[in-house]
Amino acid sequence: MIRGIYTAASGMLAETTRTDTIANNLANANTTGYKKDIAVSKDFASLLIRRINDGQDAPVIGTLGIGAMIDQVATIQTAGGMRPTGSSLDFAVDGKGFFAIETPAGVRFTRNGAFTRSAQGELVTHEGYRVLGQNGPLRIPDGKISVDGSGRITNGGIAAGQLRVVEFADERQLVKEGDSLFRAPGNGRPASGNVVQGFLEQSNVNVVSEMVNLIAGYRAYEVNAKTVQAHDQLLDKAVNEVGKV
Amino acid sequence: MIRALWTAGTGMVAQQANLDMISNNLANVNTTGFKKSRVEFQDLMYQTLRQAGAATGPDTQLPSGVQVGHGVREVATQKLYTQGNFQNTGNDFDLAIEGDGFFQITMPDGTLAYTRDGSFKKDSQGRMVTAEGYPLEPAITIPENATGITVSSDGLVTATLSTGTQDIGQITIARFVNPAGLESIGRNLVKETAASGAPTVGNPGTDGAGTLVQQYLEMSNVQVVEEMVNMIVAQRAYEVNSKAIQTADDMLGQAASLKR
Repeated sequence: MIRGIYTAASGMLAETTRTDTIANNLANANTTGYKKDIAVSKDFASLLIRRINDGQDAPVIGTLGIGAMIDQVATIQTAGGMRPTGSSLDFAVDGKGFFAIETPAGVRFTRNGAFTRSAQGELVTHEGYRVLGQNGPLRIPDGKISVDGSGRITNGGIAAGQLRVVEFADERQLVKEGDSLFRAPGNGRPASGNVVQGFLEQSNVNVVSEMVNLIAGYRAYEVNAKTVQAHDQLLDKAVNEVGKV
Repeated sequence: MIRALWTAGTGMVAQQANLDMISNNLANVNTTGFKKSRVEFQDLMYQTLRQAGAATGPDTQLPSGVQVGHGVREVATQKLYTQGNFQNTGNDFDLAIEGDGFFQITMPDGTLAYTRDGSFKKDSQGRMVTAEGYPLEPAITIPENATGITVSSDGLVTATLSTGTQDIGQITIARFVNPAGLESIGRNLVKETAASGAPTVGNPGTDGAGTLVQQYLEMSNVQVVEEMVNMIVAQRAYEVNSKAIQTADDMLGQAASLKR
């Protein structure tokens, strides 16, 4: 059938995925440590259109694109705003860096520093996963703790461990796993960012730009839909008028 | 159907929970010893449409994949045990804890509950009880002929009698490793859970426990301005999610009208 129908439909499918991504960003507009995604689309490989069977000097017509697809969903690791909470077990990283978390599936990384103390006295996430220090899980002493920029925990002047905060040379290698966690290919290197106590990092979703992207995605979807309809009208003519018997 | 509908739907549900919590904080802005809560959100699972790191040639691989998220969920409602403001009442039976810890209360079923609300009263038997009539643990009984009581900062209760003074008991304070894990049961009371750990009971002022202040009450730690800002943020987040749903619906309408 007409190639353009499929081309326009591929555009609609790509915009659907883009809208899904924007919806997820908006749903997480208030999620601590959430990093927004953007859907990057690309065109399919173009076809070379050439007349054949025309003898020696077949003229080249050129190439023809056959639609769009979502090539990657890239996570944007810019910093979110800092919100003071007043809780001594809330942490944020100012600058580059992720907290290392021990999960049943292995070590994971997060920017969500809303931790609590477990009944065993260990620093844990809201999932109950243990927060890792330089030497394994961190046991947090009873009472008020203070944490300095490098993640060293002290309780009344007595050292009580150090948070493991790491950064990665290539942050694009981090894969989202849900629950505010990222999976990374390695263990990373010591982070250059500073740990801030009593603050949480807000999501880096900018609602205005997401709304603009939502509108743009919707309109792109609409024009593709119109193109499908125009092609359908062409087919209608071809079938019902040209071929009238 | 289009994923965005449900994804944005989870966003609306999450913001409703957020607003519920903010409403409860605001409703209790003047409740003695009330501790505010906040809702913690996390993103939901991701569907991988194209795996990052998949081979695209003999020695090339995809630098990043295509993962589409499915929205948000609330993972915890965390109570924040920061100190509330003190209010002077002039009443000898009003006690506030300055620092960590809880008063222990004996419930009608014999179990213990814990509270930061120190507005005690005297019942018909002379016991110190909460506004609900639940006695303080360990029980403090005030002699009938007492003209007043004094509570020291370390919890020693002394009754003033016409013949002099008499020690009538010691108020102890319970502390928990993880107070955020305590279960709220209403009426300003919380209960121990597996997450909070077992209580450590001691005299006020010892081993990191707070000290007592007589004639003062601890007010709620709700900050109205902060809650109002959170309310605005929650409403707008709800609103943008509803716009995303409308857009996804319009897209479905477009798709449906392709077929004439």
